[in-house]
Amino acid sequence: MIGVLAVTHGDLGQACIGAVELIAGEQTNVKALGLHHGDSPDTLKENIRAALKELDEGEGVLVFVDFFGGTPANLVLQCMREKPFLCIAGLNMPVLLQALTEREGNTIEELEKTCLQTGKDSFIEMHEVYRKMSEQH
Amino acid sequence: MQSIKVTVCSKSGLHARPAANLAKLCQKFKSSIQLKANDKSVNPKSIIGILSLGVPCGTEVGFTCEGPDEEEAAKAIAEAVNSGLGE
Repeated sequence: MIGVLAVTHGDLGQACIGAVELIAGEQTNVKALGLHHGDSPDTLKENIRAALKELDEGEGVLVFVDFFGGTPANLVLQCMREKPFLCIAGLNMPVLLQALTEREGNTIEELEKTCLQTGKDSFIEMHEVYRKMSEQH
Repeated sequence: MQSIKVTVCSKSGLHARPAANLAKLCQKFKSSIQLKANDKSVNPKSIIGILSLGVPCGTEVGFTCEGPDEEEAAKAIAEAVNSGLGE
C-alpha cells in the first residue's frame, strides 16, 4: 500500500489524520510529523528520513507538507536531494481524505495528480452555492 | 450496462460517513461506475466526488455500472443506499 506522510507545523497533520479517520475509519501506513516550539529541525529531518523508510512498502510514499516555504517544506526538500519522492505542499481534509481512501488500485503518480486536483478544487465559495440554491427554489 | 435509480434515505443525505461507505463499496467492483444527481455526474469510488454533489435526504440519484461485475455492483449499491449506508 502507498504510504502517506504529513509533515507540518504543530499537530496539524496528526489532527487531519484523526479527522479523516472519523469519516473513513482507522488508516494504516500513514504517519504525521510535527514541528513544535523548541524542536530541532535536524531531528525533524532525521524523523522524516526514518518515516520515508518505514512507510515504503514498495509502492512509494506520498508526502504532504502544510505550505510551501515553511520549515517542514524546506526539510522535505532537503530529504528529496538524497532520494526523490513525490510531495504536495498544501494539506487539508479533502486532500488527505482523497489520499488515504484511494491508495488501492492507483499508482503513486496517479494518486498524487488526483490529490493535487482535489486540493485545487477544494476551496468553494459557500455563499455562492447558497445563492444559486436560493435562486432555484 | 446496468442502470438503477435509488432514493437517498440517509437522514443527512450523502454527507461524509455515508459517502465514505458508498465509496468503499464501489471501490470493491472492477466495473466503472457513475453516480448522477442534480444534473452532475461523478465517479462514486471517490468520497470527494460523492460529496461534491451535495445530495440531501430524499433525492433520487442514478447509478450506471459498466464492466465484468456490473450486475453485482448495481445490486449491492441499491441494497446499501436503500439501507441507509450505515447511518
